[in-house]
This record gives sequence, structure tokens and C-alpha cells, in this order.
Amino acid sequence: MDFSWVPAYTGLFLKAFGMTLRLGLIAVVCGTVLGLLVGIVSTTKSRTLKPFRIVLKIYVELLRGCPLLIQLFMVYFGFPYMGINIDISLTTFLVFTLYSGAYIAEIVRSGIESIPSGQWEAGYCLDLNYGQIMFRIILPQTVKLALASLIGFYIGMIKDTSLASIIGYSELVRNGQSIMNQTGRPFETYIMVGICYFVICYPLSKLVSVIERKAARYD
Amino acid sequence: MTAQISVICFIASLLLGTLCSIVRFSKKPKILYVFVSAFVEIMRNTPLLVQLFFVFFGIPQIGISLSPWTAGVLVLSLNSAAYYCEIMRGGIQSIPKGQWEAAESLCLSKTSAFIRVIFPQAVRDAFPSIANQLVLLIFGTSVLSILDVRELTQTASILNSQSFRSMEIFTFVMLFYYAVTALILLFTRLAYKKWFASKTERR
Amino acid sequence: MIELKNVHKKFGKLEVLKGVNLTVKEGEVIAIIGPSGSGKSTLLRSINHLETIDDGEILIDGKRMGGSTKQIKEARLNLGMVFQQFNLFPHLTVHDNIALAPKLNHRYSKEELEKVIDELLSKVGLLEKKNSYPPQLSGGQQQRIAIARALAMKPKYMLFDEPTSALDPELIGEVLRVIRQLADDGMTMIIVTHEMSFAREIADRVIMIDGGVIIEEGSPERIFSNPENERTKTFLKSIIDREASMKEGLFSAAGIEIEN
Repeated sequence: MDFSWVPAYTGLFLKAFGMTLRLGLIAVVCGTVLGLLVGIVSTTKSRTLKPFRIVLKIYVELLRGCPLLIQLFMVYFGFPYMGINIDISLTTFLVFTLYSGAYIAEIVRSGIESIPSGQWEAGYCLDLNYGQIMFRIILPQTVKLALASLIGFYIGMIKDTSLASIIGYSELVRNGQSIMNQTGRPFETYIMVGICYFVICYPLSKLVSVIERKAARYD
Repeated sequence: MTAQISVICFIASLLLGTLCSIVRFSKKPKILYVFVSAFVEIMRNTPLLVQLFFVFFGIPQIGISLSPWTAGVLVLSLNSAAYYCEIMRGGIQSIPKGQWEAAESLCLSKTSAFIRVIFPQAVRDAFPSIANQLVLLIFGTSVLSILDVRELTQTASILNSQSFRSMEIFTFVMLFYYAVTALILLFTRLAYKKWFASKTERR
Repeated sequence: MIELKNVHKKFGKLEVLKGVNLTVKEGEVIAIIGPSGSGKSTLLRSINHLETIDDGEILIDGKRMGGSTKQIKEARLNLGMVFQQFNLFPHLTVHDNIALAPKLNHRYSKEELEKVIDELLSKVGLLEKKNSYPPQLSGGQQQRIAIARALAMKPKYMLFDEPTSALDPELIGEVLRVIRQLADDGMTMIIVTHEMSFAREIADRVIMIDGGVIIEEGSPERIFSNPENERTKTFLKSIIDREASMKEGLFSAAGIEIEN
């Protein structure tokens, strides 16, 4: 095992690391915003919003029932076929946001629905309106409940950014490939790549354990 | 083919994962515990793709050569086993202490207590998570298909030149995954009702 | 005979048992009473080695409780335990709950085991529930099954850890009835309980524990009508007053005369 070549490639690793993080951040931030919106709307009960809710439900089921890789392929190769020109940056942005959004929407939805209806009832009895109850009472509790699942999902998304390498996105794995070809040392290369992911994901995993343990204490 | 791989990986990873969970839960023997913990943490905190490439490209470097099929099944099984380990461990740990105490008071050995009392309940509790992980495993097989082509850029150009066909293929593949997921969820709900009906749920 | 000699037990910094001495002869029914946190449950669980003691010794029929797993298991063969939370195995039928331990310990032959199970279930009045699952039964029924399960191992001594504390009031009677029957049959029993009138009724000796030590012991007549220790007096007053007024209130509301 020879790691002597690593220092020379530090720059490349860091750049690729940055690209991975960038994609991860898109998935996390944009996905959360989208997921929150979709999740909240999914829990509304009004008749007028019913068509929306149906559309959103289809969206969520669609994107959760299909592997991320296939979705990437569908967009990157399928859109041009249908006449829409799409580049890699936009593809990854779109797919990761929508995929992440769908999963987070589901986490948010089930979180909101698991808050006892007594909370809503208390809120209405105190003359609060829907918005106030949702944002000041329900959502804070939902976040607390779902925090562990959310962070767990974020960890998964960071790992899933690796799939973008297959359609050519220049993140860690993609660059790993070229480094492997240049140095002729795939064994060490992928250990280094793995370490890059491990360094982000492991602390987050530990964070999830801490949150779960804290939550259990108050049960 | 996907079905074949999925089944093999599922059974292998479930078995291995359960064994690992027992080690992680009992924390003995110490050496095995450390080894298993490291294994689980590494598999769960690095992407499947990286693990795949490591085994498929990296391992030959130190002399062992594997076919894409073998590498794929191996990595997917190990990866899934790490997740099953944590799932089963969670299930085992959530069984109330009173169950252990009752079994002990009735002169059951720790092993008998585990096999007859604790484990069945842990499986019942973890059943939804087990099914969920199975879905993720099946999704994982989609990543395996990459290995059939050694050079990534080749994939892109091959597909690009046949855009028409590729759309059809992908649509078909997509529908296939939907069907599989829906089937598994349906089966899970039915199996749960039949085997673990609420008649056996702890109050 | 069960002997506890100078038993000490600490949970971290908190000393829960501070030198307990107790002897239980065969055929005796001992009731252990005391306020929460007095150490009575810990004491009972130590006899069965569900808690390990830090000092002193516990002897079951002259043999020290403790040592290797095998030795502990052998000692436990003579001890039956009934828990406050019943701890029935929810994934097994009532029949299998009772059959599991005897089967794995090769206590009886197959035919004998079936007979024993039927006998025990009849004894606790639940023969028709043989194929039900614990979650389908009420708390009182579950506890009676738990007693049957413990009895299936033919123990010499039975330990009861607050057997009725987790039950709804109307279900307590059926469980007490079974325990009373056991006492009448001559079983040696140690019962940790809050049910004072029951303790008075069936115990040969009442032990009052507070602050990790036995502060008083004697016959139920003496303890309940003429306690010597101040703390015993206070404790009993609070419990019995409440029990009495509750009974009075309930019975007069139902138009029934109070028995005893």
C-alpha cells in the first residue's frame, strides 16, 4: 500500500470534495425547503386544496419508488430526447432537489400527523389560527420528533451524491476515477475517497445517536 | 437477474446482519465487537458506489480478481448487512428488561431466552424496517449494473448514441422498480397482519 | 429455608439495603410492607439474583445464592417469581408461555406436561384461555397466567413482587384469590405488597422495611393493631385509613355491608 502520491493530489481531492459538498448542500437545503412545503400542504384538510394534495402525493410516491440513479438517467438522457436541452449542473440540481424533497416531504408529513390532535384542539380553543398553530406549536414539535430521521436522510443524500459521478458530475468518485487512472493505484485511491465521505458522515451519525438517546430519555 | 441478486443479497445480508447485531448487542467477545463495530460504521458512512469501486477496481490491485457479478453481490450483501445489524440491534434493545428477567427467573439459559423470547419479538418489532431496507437493497442493484461497463464515460456515450432506445429502456426499468416496491410494501403489510397480528403486540 | 444474612446493596452511591437479616422457614407466608424506595423490591429481587448484593449472603436451603451461571440457575429452580408487570411472553400463547421453561429444562415428559398445564390453568381459573395470547387478556388474567407459569417449574418458594400494583382495582381480587389458595396449599411465599388487608389475612409474619432496614417484624395481628415503631405507625395509618375509607365509601354506595 502506497499513499505517497496523496499530497500531490490534495488540491484535486479538495476541489472534488467541494463539489460533493455543493451537491449535498443543494439536496439538503433545497430539498428541505421543498419537502417542508409539500409536507405541510399534504396535511391540510381543505377541499379546495384537494387537487394539489393529489398531485403532491403522486409526486412523492413517484420519486420515492424509483432509484435515484434511474431518475438521474431519465432526466439527463431523457430530456434531450424529448427536445429539452439540459446540462449536468441543472440535471443534478433538479433531480437531487426533487428526490430529496419527496423523501423529506414524507418525513414531515408523517411527523405532523403524529402530533396528537389534542395539540390542534388546544390551539383552536385558544383562538389561534391555522398558521399560528402550525408554525408555533406543531412544526417545532415535528422538527424535534423528526430531527433524527432528517439528519439520517441528509447523511444518505451526501452519500448519494456519488451517483452523480455516473453521469459525469465532477465530484469525489468521478475524480477518484481519473486519479485511479493516473496513479494506477485504485486500492489506495478509493480508500482516500472513502475517508472523505467517512469524515463527514460519521460525525453526523454520532449526532443522530445522541439525538435519539436524548429523545428516549424524555419518553 | 435483478431478482436473483436481490434474493441472494437479502438472505445473506439478513443472516450476517443478525449475527453482527448479536455481537454488537452483547459487546463480547471484545475483539469481535471492535471489528464488527468498525465494519458497520465504515459500511454505513461511505457510499455504496465507492465500496463497489473499491472492491471491483481496488482489490485486483492486491492480487484478488473478481467478476462484476461476484463483486456486486459481495459488496451489496456486506453493505446491507451493516444496516440490518443496526436494525436488529435496535429491535433487540427495545425489548423490555422484564422479558429477560422473566426468562431468567424461569431458568432459561441466556441463549434459550434470546432465541425463544427476545429474538422473535425483536424481529416482529423490526419487521417494517427490515422490509424498508429490502427496498433500498433492490434500489442498490441498480447501481450494480454500472459495473458491467468498465469505463464510466463509455456508458454515457453509448447511451447518448442510442437515445431513442435508452428512453424506452429507462421507462421500462423505472416501471419495473415501481412494481417491485409496491409489491414488497403490499407483501409486508399482508405478512405483518398474518404473522404478527396485533394479537401479539405488547400492550 | 431462605436465609438473608446482613445483606447490603448499593445503587451507585445510594445504599438501598443496609444490613438486612431475615429467615423464612418452609411453609411460611411472609408479607413485606413499607414505603416506596424502602428497598423491599430490591430485597426480593436479590433473593432470586436479579439484583446482586454487595455484602452479606443469601442462602437458599443452605447453599449460597450466586457463583457461576449454572449454580444460579440451579438455585432458581426452587424459586418462582411473579412480577409486578407480569412479563408474560406476548408472542407465545398462554399454553406455550407456561410450557416453555419446563420443556427446555426437561422437567416433565410430554404427556405429564400437558396434564400439569391443564391442572395449573384450572387452578387459576383460566383453562379456556389456553390458546389465547397475553395481549388479548386483561391484567388480572395475565397475572394469574404468570403465577401458573411460575408454578409449572414446581418451585419450593414463590416470590411475589407487588403482584397487584399494576392492576385496575376491580381485577385485584381474582389475583389475590389465587395467591390465597396457594397459601392454603402450604406454599412458602414471600410477598411484597401494598394490600394491607390481604397481608393481614394470609401472612404468618409481616416485615416492615424502611430506609433499607427491617424496622419491625411480627405477627400480622400485632403489627397491624399494635405497631411499636413510630414509622410503622405512620405508614400503616396512611395506608389503612385510605383503604378503609375507600372500602366504606364504595360498599355503602353499592349498598353492601362491609365484610370483616
